[in-house]
Amino acid sequence: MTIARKEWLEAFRDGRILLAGGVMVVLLLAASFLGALTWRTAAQERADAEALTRAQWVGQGKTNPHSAAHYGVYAFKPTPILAAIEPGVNPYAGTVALLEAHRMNEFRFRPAQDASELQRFAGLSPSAILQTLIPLLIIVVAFGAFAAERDQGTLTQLLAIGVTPGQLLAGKMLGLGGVVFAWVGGAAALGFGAIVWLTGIAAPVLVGELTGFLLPHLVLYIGWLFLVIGVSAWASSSRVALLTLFALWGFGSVIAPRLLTGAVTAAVPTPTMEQFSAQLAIDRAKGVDGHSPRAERTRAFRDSVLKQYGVDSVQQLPVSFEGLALQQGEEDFDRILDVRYGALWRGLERQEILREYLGIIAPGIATRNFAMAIAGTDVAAHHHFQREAEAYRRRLVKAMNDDVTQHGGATPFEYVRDADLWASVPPFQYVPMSASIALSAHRVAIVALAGWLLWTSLLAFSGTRRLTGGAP
Amino acid sequence: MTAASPSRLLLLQHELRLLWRDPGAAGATIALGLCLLAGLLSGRQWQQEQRAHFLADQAVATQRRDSLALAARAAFADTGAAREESSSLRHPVAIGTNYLPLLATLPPAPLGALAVGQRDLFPTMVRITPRSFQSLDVSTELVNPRSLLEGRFDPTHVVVALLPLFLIGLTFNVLSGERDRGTLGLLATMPVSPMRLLGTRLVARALPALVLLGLLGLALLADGGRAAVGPLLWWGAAVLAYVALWLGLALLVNSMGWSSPANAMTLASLWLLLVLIAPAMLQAAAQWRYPPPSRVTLTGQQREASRAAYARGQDVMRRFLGDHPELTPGDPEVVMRDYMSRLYSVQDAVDRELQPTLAAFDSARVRQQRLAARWGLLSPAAVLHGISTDVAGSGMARFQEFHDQMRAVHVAWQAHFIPPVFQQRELTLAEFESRPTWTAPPAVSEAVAGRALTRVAWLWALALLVWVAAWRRLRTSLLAAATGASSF
Repeated sequence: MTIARKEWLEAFRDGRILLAGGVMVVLLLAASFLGALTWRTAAQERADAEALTRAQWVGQGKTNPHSAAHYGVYAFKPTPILAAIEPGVNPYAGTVALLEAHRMNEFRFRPAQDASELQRFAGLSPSAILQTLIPLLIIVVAFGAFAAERDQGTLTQLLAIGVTPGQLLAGKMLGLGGVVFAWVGGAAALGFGAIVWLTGIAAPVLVGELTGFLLPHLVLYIGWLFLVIGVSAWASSSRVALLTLFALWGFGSVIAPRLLTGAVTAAVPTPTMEQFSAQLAIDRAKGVDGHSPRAERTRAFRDSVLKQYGVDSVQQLPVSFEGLALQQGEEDFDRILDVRYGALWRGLERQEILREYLGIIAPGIATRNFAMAIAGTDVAAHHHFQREAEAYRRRLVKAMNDDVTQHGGATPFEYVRDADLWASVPPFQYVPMSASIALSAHRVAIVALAGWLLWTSLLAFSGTRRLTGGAP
Repeated sequence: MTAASPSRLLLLQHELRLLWRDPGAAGATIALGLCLLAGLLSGRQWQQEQRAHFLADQAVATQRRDSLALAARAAFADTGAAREESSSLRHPVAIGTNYLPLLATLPPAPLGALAVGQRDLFPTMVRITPRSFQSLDVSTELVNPRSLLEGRFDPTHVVVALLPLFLIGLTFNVLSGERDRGTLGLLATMPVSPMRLLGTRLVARALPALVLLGLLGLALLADGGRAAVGPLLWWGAAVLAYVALWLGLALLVNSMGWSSPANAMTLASLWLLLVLIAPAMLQAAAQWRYPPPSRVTLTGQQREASRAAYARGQDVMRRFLGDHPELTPGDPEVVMRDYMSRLYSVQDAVDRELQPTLAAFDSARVRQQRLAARWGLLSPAAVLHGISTDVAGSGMARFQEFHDQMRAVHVAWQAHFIPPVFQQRELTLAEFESRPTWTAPPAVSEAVAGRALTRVAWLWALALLVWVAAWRRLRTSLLAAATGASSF
């Protein structure tokens, strides 16, 4: 405890650490303000737009159900509360899609397209500060743990009093960790207050959401403390310790994330929109197997319907054949979509899996993967939303086609319905993936963080042991 | 170097020899070389992907366009029953929208490998149809949003973000190292001026980086050919100023008389401030000051305007036809019953209603960009990034030019295809052949030089300012150290 107290006192007397800590607090507070305001605005706009477009759907008046399916409804991507802290891929993923008959529209309007060029250069979100800048604070606070004592000649005196490696390491960890967590805790509390105040979300709810989110960050920081103390113990001087730590930080924060983008894109290429659309058009014409022309498929379907109802012509059917054919056309195309989008999304998800494996080299990447999954702002969450929206589109279109089948009679496209049918289709209510399912895709990140804690603690312990072993 | 005095050359040789024997410096140079190589390879990979995608997309689109153009030309020659059957191939809407939309393309620029910039965020091939402009300008690529978030490891990233760290690593103790070793006092006894020694030492320590940057420039020149010479010269001038600035900052910090770790920490803090924090704060401020209208809200508004216009269908059409009497030489009542005529008059009404909101998007983006450009001068890293993306043809300016050109050709496209809709007639062969065409923007915008000039000048001015401040401070400090009047 004496060692811890000494570290604590020294850190709070060091102007550079006070300045660095102060800057972190201000930045985290500013980022929390901005994140919370962005979230509040987005949530309000989405709620208003959803209410408006639902009213437009229900109030579209008398029209043919198939025309209503063409009119469609809009799906707006929700913003989970933790997106105020970890926006993840949301600024770079589409936010709105029209759900309509015959097509699966891409989500449009990436918010980053309406921002300046600087957004691509650097971003200011609470998570970026937590994952990138706090490790720097740890370096500043702790790089001299042993190296500075060696430079000043006080290390020999410290070792002469007969402390064990465990005591020495625990003292340094407690003292320096206390300093770091005092700054981070203070900044996080202020940021938390800003978010609660600006978003109006209940504090206990946010605490519940944040618990899982902060856990990987805690592991990241403890690992960094071990690493900094370990390097400080092994380094020949504080200069070498500082440069080594800056190099490690720079590699993990500035180099590795971008290198991985090139690596995963080269390993799993994706088609362009033009190529993808052309493939869908070919599939529509020739069938997803490439050997079932559309006319043949239509003829086969008509024959099967006639056989099913035991009649000789479509006019004898008790239901509207056009309604059945419309639905059959949808299901045909759905199969094509399942195959093509399935392959596309599997490719993008493979890129993420690869990023996850390669991310083992940098704990910040593993932490970010974990944090985005918890926040519901990763690629998997975006695809989950797209899948749910697509499932809703299919239900809506089927409801319209079924109505035409049942009530369309001989004039299925002149037949009209009113608000009762539109209102009978429930609005799209998205239920996000549970945190446990989201995290199950990030087992590698969890293992990477556990490994990070293990090797850094071994480094710190062996470094301390080496120092005390060499003591007289 | 040939013009340098022998003593300066000897000093340089001596400093280079010292640097060569320093394993840390050698390791850092190798690391920078590897980073630049990785950046170049990654940039080239990106450029090749872009070219391949662009050519493949163009091939798909051109093949489709050529076969349909052939069919349409044949349809104009049809007579009798065949003419009736092929009428859709002469319909203005069918041709202008479905069969032969105009392909607006933005080809990759010669220095594309230098900076990915905004090129992965915006579409570079857009189909122009007579429909509303906002329905065209939203094409989205099937790119992994995580890759957009993280960005690419291109040469610009290495130069803007990592090069300063390399320079800091080699220069943070350019003077404090002498003090650490207890040799600072000896400097005053040497037959050369300490200032000359320090200047030469800085040049020597920057030399490996300059050689590597020169090699990068040559590799980019080999990629881009003659068209790349001009933009590369601007880039080179900006990078040299950036190097000079970081060397000047190292000299200034060294002139303070602090210890080597304190110097390292101060320079690292400056890097953090200028390279990461300042651009991030500027972006946040720009977004805060000029927030764009909500795309989500616009979606609802657009549908509402469309619904209202359809509900007022007859009124909307009457107003439209009243505004455009030249479009209805025949019976207006017949036109009033036509679906396509109603569609385009409703579209016109919706476009008019939403025009202020749509203009606000452009205005917010332009204002954000202006604010970022003005205040971005505070961050030399943001300035160099801007110059690099601009000369690489991947900056916002080039997309704005592309956007403006698309808007102009869209107006011409609408003017060509919409009148026959209201005149309820097919397109003539002459109209078909004289439809507007797309001329791709030049590979290198002529405006690049003008934009680069002020920014490069600003970087040099900053570098000069820092050097003058450092030089003055050092001269005073070293003089005091030599006379024993200071603890420096």
